[in-house]
Amino acid sequence: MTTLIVTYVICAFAVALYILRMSGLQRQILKRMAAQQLPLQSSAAEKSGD
Amino acid sequence: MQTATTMYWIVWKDLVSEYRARQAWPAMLMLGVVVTFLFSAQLDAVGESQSRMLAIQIWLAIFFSGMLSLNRSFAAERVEGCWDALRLYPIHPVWIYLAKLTVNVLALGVLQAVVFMLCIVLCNVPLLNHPWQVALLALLGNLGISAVGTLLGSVCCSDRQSAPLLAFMTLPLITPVIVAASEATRLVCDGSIGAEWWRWIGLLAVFAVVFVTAGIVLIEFLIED
Amino acid sequence: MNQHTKSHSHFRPIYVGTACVMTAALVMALYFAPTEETMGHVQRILYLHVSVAWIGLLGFAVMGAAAMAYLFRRDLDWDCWSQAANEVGWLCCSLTLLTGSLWAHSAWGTWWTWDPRLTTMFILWALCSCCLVVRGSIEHPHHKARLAGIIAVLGLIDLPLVVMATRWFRGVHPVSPEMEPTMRITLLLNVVAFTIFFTVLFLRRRSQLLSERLLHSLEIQTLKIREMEILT
Repeated sequence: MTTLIVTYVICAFAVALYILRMSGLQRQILKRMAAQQLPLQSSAAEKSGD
Repeated sequence: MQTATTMYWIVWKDLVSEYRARQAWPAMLMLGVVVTFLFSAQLDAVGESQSRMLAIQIWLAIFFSGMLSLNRSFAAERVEGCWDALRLYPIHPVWIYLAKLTVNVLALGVLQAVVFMLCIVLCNVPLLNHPWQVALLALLGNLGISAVGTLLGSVCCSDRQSAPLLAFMTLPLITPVIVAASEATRLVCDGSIGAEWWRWIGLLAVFAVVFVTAGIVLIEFLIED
Repeated sequence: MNQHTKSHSHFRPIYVGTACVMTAALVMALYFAPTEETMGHVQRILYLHVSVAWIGLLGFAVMGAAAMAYLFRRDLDWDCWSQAANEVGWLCCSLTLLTGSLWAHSAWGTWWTWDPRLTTMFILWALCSCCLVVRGSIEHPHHKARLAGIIAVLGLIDLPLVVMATRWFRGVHPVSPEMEPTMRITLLLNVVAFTIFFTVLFLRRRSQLLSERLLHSLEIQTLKIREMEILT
């Protein structure tokens, strides 16, 4: 039982870390977009990039 | 015919420049000798599984020392605009790859000869009882390692940043070669050359063919202009 | 393409749906699936283990395919696919090794054996890590993509040979044991749920990488314009 709980907790932790890192990056990207005076939607960045 | 001659001259150029400058081969051979020597010193204590240990040790020594030569093969072209001059030749990049592969196979071959001889002398293994089998095995293993190493070297050594990564990138890819070659070497040491031995040789041959072909197909997409 | 063109709301139906499916799968795996007789509760690791192993393999395949597309096209968009698959694949490969190790400790009394599947998974993990390290250590985007791409493509070619080499060594891994229908359904649900979850994660990461790259080029352009203004 302990092994089972440990396994699921470790996996949840690892995935949560990855998601947290991603959302941190997302916040950074939004900040950079604001600095470029872009509307806060990634579609705008894409259109201007194309 | 024209391209084959050009390839021959690229090989010749590399060998001559190596002979004059002695940049990679002495270091590679020295590393091979020292590693083999240090491994062999501990090998007496192992006892029964000696041939197993010896086999993997031979191939790891060859791999790590050989990396010095593989690293140099394209990196040497990067200094003083040699690469641009080479690319100006009216030949397909495939021939450059094949020429570099040939040089690397030769370098690894010399290294293998030294390491095998040293093992025979230091560890008293009966490798010379089956000289042709050992030669075949060494050649196929050599081709596998060189094919992958040369291909990765062509991308990797285009700047100084990534050159130290070569050994680290090559090793996981050539795990089948290391496993198969050391198992086949162990079988030769034990004197049992049968169906099992041929199976490992088959794997080595398939690996060599697949990766030389992959190199020929992919090199065009890897070399930058 | 349509993923990132919409707004960044956290409550879009796709996320809610994924969360529902994941919850259902976890409840099935941890509560409704029958407890196995010999191993007890530990057997429930299987549902997680098989799912992440499958995603790990899938991630590796996607990474290799995207890398090949990049090498032929030289379009950095493909590298974003490759990198996202690389990260998700690495995560899943690591989790597979970890859950497998914990399972092996309860089932066979050892943390690790040199079984073909374990060894193959380990080499897969090593190749994924290799690509990640390469990506981390090179700055030039095309150079980085090329080097990571060639490792991914060669890894994909290498995989059958690795499987063959390790199979001729020795073996204990269960291939596909008999299962009760409920267990089978639970496993299937888990695989589907995890696939959806990690696909969403993967697409999200990919669009993030894409916008990061475009933003970067935009920033450089702005800097150049400022420089021009200062000079004139």
